[in-house]
Amino acid sequence: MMKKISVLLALLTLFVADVAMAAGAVVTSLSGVVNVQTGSAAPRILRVGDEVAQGDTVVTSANSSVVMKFDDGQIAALTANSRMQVSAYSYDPPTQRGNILLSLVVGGMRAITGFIGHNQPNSVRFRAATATIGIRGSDGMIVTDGTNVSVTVTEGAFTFTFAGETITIPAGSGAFGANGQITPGTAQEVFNKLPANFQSAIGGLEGLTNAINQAIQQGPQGQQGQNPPGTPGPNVPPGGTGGGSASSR
Amino acid sequence: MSVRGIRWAIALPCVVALAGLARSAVHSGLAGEVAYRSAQEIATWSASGSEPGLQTVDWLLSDLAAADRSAPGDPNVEELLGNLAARRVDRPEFLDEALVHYRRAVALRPTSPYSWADIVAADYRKGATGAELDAALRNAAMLGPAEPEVQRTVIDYGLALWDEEPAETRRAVEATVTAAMKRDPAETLQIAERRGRLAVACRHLGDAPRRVDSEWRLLCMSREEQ
Repeated sequence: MMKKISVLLALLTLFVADVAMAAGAVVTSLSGVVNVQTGSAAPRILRVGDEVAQGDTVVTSANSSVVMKFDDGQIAALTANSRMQVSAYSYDPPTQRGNILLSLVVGGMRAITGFIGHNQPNSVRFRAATATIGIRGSDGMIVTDGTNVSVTVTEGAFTFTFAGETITIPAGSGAFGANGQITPGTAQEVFNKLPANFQSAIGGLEGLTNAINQAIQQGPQGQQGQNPPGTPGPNVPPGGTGGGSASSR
Repeated sequence: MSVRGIRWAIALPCVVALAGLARSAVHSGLAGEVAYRSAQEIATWSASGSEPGLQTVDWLLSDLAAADRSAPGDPNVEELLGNLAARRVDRPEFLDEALVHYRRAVALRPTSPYSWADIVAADYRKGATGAELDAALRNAAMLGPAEPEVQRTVIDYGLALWDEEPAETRRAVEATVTAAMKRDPAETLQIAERRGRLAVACRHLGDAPRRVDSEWRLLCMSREEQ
């Protein structure tokens, strides 16, 4: 009898431990229909509060969008008709170090870095079609149609490697990689030269500003989160506040 | 037949039956022992936050499978086999296997809210948000109203599916929210906030006997105004 009770208690512990396991990102805002695919499994509908882990591919339908917040505070927002894979994500909360590689296959993504980007900028990379984007700052938008890529930087600086050429894009500037070459300029100049579908994607991302700010303000939290709501605020440099696990189960 | 013969005729089946029962008891005891050791082992992985090597998992699986064969019908063994399969997040097809074990576990012990909650989590992760998940949510809520772990699962997935649930399930989820708000309002508010359903938890702020952080109260008030 005692043994049976012990097994039940151990199972209970397992249950609790599973609930507390961290994963990657949590969906903080979503509109329309967004699916997530894990490996070869059938896509399933993503909902607010769901987790997105390394290896998952997030796909937004028409008139849909999603904002995700990773355990380290990194934000990734996707506009309609986007497909993004979390190619790599690891994070060690005690040291606030880790590794991020997000691959945007098609569509638009706004990325705002968290603790990893603050502590190890070289460990945060984005891929869009054949381009590789590194960060030296905190906030930017990436759009691709699967071949051409545009990057616009709001804060800090991004490095943009396209067709064998690498440039650094400072805040307020952008670049468009197409036909094997990069055309840099101010954010507005680049925007004006972009094809309509790129401009539409950027417009969609700008429409997510409120949802992104809300995600930033919430602070990393989950069932085991320690932060009260309201911290940290937008533009608070990562490192001072937050940092708990954003995931639950 | 002589008296001696009659005695033998009665004694022999009794001895055979006793031997059979002893054998079954030994097998059941061994299965219990394996389940106990396995549960402890898995709890160690979970506590340390590190995943074991495939060899360790295989060793545990074969032990549990052997225990299942020698003493079939132990819901603890079924639940553990399900938990092991569900841990394979790299291979979603293992969720199907986990569900097979969880279903056997609830068939063997339908009163366990944990097994029903396991089904809720596995079905949700699989994207199978149909009748089984709905029934499992209601059963878990009904059977484990005061179990913290069951409450977490019911609230988490119940609020995730809030818009898609029948009224009866929604009532069961809300009853769990009420109970959880009495137990740990901060945790409950946090889950509800993560699921974008803070208003559901805020409705029960008055039921919380413990002090609730003023920031949560303010957040609840601001949501009411919206």
